[in-house]
Amino acid sequence: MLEEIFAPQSVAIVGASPEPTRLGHSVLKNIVQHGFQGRIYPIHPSAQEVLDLSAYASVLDVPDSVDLAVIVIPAKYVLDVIDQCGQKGIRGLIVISAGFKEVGGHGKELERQLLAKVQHYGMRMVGPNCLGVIDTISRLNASFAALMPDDGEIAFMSQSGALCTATLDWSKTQGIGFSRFVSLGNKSDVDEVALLRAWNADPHSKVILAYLEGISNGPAFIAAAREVTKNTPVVALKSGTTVAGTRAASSHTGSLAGSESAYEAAFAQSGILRARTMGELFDLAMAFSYQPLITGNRVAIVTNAGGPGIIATDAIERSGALKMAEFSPQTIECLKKHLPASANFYNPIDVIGDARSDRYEAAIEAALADPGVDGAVVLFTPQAISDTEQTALVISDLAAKHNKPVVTSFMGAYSIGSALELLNQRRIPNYQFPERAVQALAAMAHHRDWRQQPTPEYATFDVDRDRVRKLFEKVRESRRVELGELEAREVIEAYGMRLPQSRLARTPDEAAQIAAEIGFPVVMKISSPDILHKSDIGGVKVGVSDTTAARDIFELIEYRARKYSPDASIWGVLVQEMVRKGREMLVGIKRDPQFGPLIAVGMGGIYVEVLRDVAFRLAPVSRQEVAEQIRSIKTFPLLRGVRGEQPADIAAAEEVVLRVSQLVTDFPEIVEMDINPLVVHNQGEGAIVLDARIILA
Amino acid sequence: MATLYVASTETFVGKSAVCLGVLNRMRRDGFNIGYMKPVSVSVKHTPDATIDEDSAFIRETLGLEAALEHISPVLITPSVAESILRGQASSFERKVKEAYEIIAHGRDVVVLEGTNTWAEGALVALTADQVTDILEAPGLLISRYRSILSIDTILSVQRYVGDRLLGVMLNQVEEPHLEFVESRVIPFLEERGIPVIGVLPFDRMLGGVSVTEFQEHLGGQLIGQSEWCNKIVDSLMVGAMGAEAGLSFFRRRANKAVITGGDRTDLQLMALETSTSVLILTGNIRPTTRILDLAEEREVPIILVSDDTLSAVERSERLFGRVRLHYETKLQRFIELMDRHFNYDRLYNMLGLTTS
Repeated sequence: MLEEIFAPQSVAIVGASPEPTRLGHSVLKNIVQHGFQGRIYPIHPSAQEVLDLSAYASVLDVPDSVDLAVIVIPAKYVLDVIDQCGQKGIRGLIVISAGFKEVGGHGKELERQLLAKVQHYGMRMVGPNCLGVIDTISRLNASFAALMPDDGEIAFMSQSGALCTATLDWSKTQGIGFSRFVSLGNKSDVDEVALLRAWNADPHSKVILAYLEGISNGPAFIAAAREVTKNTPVVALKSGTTVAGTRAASSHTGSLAGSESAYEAAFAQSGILRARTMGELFDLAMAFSYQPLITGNRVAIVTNAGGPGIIATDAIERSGALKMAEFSPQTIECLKKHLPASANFYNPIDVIGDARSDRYEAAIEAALADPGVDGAVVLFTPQAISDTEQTALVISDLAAKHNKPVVTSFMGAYSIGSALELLNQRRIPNYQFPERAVQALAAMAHHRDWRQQPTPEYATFDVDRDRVRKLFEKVRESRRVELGELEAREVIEAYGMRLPQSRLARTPDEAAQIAAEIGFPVVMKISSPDILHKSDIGGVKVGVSDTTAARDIFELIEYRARKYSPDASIWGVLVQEMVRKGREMLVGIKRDPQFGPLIAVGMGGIYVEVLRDVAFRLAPVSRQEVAEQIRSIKTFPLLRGVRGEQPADIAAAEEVVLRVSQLVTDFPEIVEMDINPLVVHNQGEGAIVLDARIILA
Repeated sequence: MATLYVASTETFVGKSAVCLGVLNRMRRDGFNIGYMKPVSVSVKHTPDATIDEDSAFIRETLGLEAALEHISPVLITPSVAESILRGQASSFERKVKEAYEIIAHGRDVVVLEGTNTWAEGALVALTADQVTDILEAPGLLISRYRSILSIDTILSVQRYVGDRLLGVMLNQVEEPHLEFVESRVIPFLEERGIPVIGVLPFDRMLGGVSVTEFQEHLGGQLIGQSEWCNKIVDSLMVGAMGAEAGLSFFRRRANKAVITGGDRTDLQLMALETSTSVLILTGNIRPTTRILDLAEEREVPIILVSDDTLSAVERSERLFGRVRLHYETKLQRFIELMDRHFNYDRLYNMLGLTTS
């Protein structure tokens, strides 16, 4: 678990200057000041002593062993120092120095060499270009942050150093503490994946928080997160999600940002809870670090005011993860006994504006004792006769007694300051407004659901992989990236998906002959790599009913195509079996630069672009994920059948998605693919691919 | 001694390339070769001479000893045309015959590169059929196959020159047409007495332009190593869309030149992420160091131009569609293609040539 970084027995600070204005001095001071118990060795070329500690000219001069070196010297000297560290047998490195990849050119090369050395010596390294690492368990503050965070059970990693210092500064006023605190910097060696793995089932961390601008290796991240989130909740804030934000992130990091949909899918498929704002990140962190995990989804609300109670109820209904608890008759009896007649005894429990702590106590006790309640949201508005602090104490005692998560929203600020402090001390997460309290509890329920999900099942079909491989070779050989319609059909067929019969006619006679063989009526469409929107130019004709018509239509379609685009290369006219109507879906792939193939599923046809009703998952997808994906599109009821319609063959549609997933996993060179439309017939009657487009890298 | 006249009915069907390919192969097969382009319409003026560019290139590529004035003896310049209008006709036929005697001396075979169309050269009384008559050279017709109607032209040529049509080579046949050409078009032509000596598939690279040509044409500053400039550009794409659409757009073409603003870091990244032969950045804006790093990693040259994007596009487009083979990489590829798809044995047989 990266002990060499987080729990070293001895630390050398390379660049520990006696000069207080130097960064190296601040780092040493932080290590000395905040109670690190191990041995500390300042390394400086000329100083004898720094901060009353004997200094050495090189790590090689240190008489004892050294576990961790913190490097705070100009970039050009770093490589030599790494060699010395390697010879010294040092295992952990924190490179704070800047001037590497982030400056481009030679800096990039320097970082490449740095990593090569680190790997050569078998060391682990945080940075370069980072703020440092803080661990409140080993009391190590190996950073140039101005503060030491409070103790806590939140492990935090951030790709932005400045955000680290800001968060640290803010956390001190909020009473939020951390177990580990890492600025990732350029994440040359230790990246988000390494930290996730290191913090998996860390007894000191109840929740992992991550601020990320980009992910180095999408698939590795998903694999690590899938494991970790089965033990520890992970909450991530990913910036650069809007178009402008992505552009900003691209120029900031110099790599193509993954698409928003890919991140969304990656987080959903790996059980990561996604925070949209910094506020939400810490809202969730507080709930997970202070309270026990919720064991169900039924929530009781206790409030002294009707309005906030309704707001919280709405939030619970909207959350998708929680529902309002229904109380047992005994609970209602108990509430009736202790609360005034004008109170509301059903969920949400309204203890009325004149309630003091005793009424809160009775109501919360009754609710939490009910086996049909898994957690509670307690709302409080300050009134003239409220005993605010006592109420806070009562809530925290009962929460501890019942071991069910309780979150509160003490609304207001001016008159409730000391109660908020009490809640925080007693580890009750409090939120300014009810919705945020509910949101935090909902995140807990999401996490619990995720942990209970069965192990995913992946389907493997018997396919003709070789045929596709050969076809792709041929396409590459001709310096093309886009497959022709016939080639795309071949791929679809090789992967066991159904297609209508279809053949290319080069002459009117051939068209008539092929149509007769397929059987009337047929569909005819122009075949040309240069004409993308065939129906727009009149290049598609459905319901061609006899051989005479087939000949005529051939000439008509070819004439239109030549007229539309005299330079287009025209391959002929495709004559296709006419597929009977069904429900039209689309299955698409876009390879995400960070996460790999992203599968889009939605209702197809010509309204796709208007409706934008599409759900995304990253390949490979499991059976459960596909089932979930199809069910999550808004128009899913159309597949299930509306107004007495028969249900569509959803299983067949799912199988197509699974086969596509296998195809794009087998062939990483497929960068884009579209099946649109996929015609899904009624239950038991299958699904058939009408049109497919494939683009290779 | 054999003579072959390589003819075409339209421009840019690959006539010069075929001459080069055939000559290259003949030399490899042990023949002593000669080359000549009896009449030239498209001439280039250099500081010290007026020359036919294609034949100069072929002469240089093959290292031919013959003088350029014998290789291309008749250049129809505007002043030549004017002198004919004035009635001051000189005997171009004699000029061609004399040059031919010199070129053919001691050779096993001479390949004559014909005019672009059958009509070209009438002004100097040296159209394709006239030259084939004068020099008694059978003609090989190079025809670009685009559709079934391409047969029409071939038949009309046969009507025109009769037996002097040795055969035809179908060039740039797109893959989906190949089967049809083989099963239907070839048997039809052979039946009509027109041997089909070669069917060359369409090849994207041959239609391409090298990065060097781009840079020579556009000017501007080149960033990157000169050996990366051997890359061939098959097509042109313009980056002017929103970032969200960029990647899908750039993925659709391989080996492309991408023209975009120097400040569009996002689109530049996407272009470098996909198959791109050169990045042309407009507005004289230098890319960021990160782009330079990535371009270096991918070995993609960058050309910085001061034009705005629209002008750069207009200027670049002029490069396509009139591509010449003046490029080693492309030449090699074409020679290989001919070796594979052109029936040299049959040609030799018709010309009465025997390999030793």
